[in-house]
Amino acid sequence: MEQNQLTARQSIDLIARTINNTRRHIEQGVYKHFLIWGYLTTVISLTIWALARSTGNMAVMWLWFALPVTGGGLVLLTCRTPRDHGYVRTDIDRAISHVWLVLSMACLVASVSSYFIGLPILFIVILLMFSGTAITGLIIRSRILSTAGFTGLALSVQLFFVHGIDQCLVFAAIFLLAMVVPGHMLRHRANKNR
Amino acid sequence: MFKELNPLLHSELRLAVMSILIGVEEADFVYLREQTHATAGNLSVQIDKLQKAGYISVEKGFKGRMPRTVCRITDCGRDAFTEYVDALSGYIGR
Repeated sequence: MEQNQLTARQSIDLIARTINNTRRHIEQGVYKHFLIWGYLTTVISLTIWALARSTGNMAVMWLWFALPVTGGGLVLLTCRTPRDHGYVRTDIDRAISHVWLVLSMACLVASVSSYFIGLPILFIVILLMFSGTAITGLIIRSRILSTAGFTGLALSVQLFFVHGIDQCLVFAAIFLLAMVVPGHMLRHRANKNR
Repeated sequence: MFKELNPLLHSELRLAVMSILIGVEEADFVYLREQTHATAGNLSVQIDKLQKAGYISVEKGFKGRMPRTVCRITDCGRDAFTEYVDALSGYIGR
């Protein structure tokens, strides 16, 4: 892009095009988070269900704590900007990361508390995580994400129809449907726009 | 009566840089170069002009061992951009 003089119309077009490109750039990386957390939660839920069913030992519940550790590590490894790529941070990035920080802290407090007092922890986790998904979708104006968030919230009541360790199956199914599937849809769209 | 367009912003590359920075908190030199498709030398000169006018702030630092230049729009730059867009709308009859 050289240092050309512009007409008024060209200036307006340039401003609009640049702002749109920046917005598209923000949306592109979001799908990775949803695929990582969606798949990981599904796999760990099913592993816990299978181990609890086969061994009858409820100590396998401690495996839930592998979720934040593994997920956090994978996000750090796969979602950071490569060195030779440009770095940009927007107000939207900051708002979204703060929303998820608060919700993750609430999730952690609820999970630890559930070991001491009887809490419907899987229900609480779904409410918190899919509230985050819906809020993210509304902030970045992504219909896929906001629909996924509200779908997850609506499906959360299914947990009340299943009892005991089988709740893990419903939990996994909700994450698969409302986090992994939208993650793939976002990925497909991001690849198409690239 | 048309308002005069700010000559500092009325150039393709400087306007593109300002349009990017108006929508973000901060962006580095590499990102600006990717988005504007400008050469490093040209971009560097235009960033320098915007910085001297007080429209953007430039922070030079390191990410790991790689040097990184991060640019942010200033309040003065935001006001100038808003005035420029207002003036433009007079030209296109809004």
